[in-house]
Amino acid sequence: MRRGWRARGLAAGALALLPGCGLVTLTHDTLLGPVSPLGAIHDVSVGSDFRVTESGPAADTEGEPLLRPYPADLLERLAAPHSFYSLTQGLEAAIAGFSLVVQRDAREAELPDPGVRAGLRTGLDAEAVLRLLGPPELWIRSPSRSLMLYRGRGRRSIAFYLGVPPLASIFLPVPGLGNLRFRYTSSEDRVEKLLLFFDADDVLASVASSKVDP
Amino acid sequence: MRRGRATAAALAGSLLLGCAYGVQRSGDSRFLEHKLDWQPGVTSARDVASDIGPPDLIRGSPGRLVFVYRYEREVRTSLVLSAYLRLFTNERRRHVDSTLVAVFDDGDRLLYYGVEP
Repeated sequence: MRRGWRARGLAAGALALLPGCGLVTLTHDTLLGPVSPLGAIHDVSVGSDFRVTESGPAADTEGEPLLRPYPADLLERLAAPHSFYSLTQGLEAAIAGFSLVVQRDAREAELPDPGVRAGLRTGLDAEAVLRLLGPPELWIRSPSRSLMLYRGRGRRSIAFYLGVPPLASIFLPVPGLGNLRFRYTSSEDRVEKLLLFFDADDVLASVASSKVDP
Repeated sequence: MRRGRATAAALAGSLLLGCAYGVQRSGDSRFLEHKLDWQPGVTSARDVASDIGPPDLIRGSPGRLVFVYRYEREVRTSLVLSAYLRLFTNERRRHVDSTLVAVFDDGDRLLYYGVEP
């Protein structure tokens, strides 16, 4: 009787481990998030295009199954000659990670709010525009005119996957059914821009925008 | 006979296809969609910005102002035949980088422009 329960427990444990590191690391990142001393580890554990940068290991998960039991390039990571170089880089990044100097991650920039942009009208001087929108990304000045360019960046992505989930294919008695799959990914990097033309007296003469304000 | 058919069906089933299609776009494509009928010496930098929006890059030098517009597209397709191992893989990647350059004089009048769709 006890042996039966033990067998069932082992089977349940094996089933839980079948998704492998994907499930574990996704749970880790979701539950512990930024408070974990390991940081975010899911991308690195299941992603492709693995590389080690000066900030540590990195990989891409775009278009990859999130519950992959092991990374697609596992052998390459472990056994390729460059893996030793990656290991050295990883150690260096780990040692550098103990430094007290912290660099803030770059943020996606945004254009000033539409409500603020609505205050733009020709005839304003450069000082008023700067007060309204803040400093531009680029300011080109010449005796005859000047230009201010503001930019905001954003990314939109869609992924669609059609196929039998990896675990479910084990239980369906059709050989190769798990291989039947279709994946569609689409991503778009949008740059919203606002260009201001000033005349020789630094008075706003014209506004061009890539975004149509309501 | 029946066993042979079953084996053949199993083998055929195990060679089912795996396909992937990915598209990545970057930038504003308005300069590709817009009909460009600008006239050197007549069209101004404001007209250009009004027609197709602000540029992605601006270069300013004495007597010259350069607007650069860019739009990138990348399409990746892959077909994988697998039976537990990848038996056959066909991957294609097509990257198109479209650019428009417009050069203006110090009066912001168009001197010349070029576009590569």
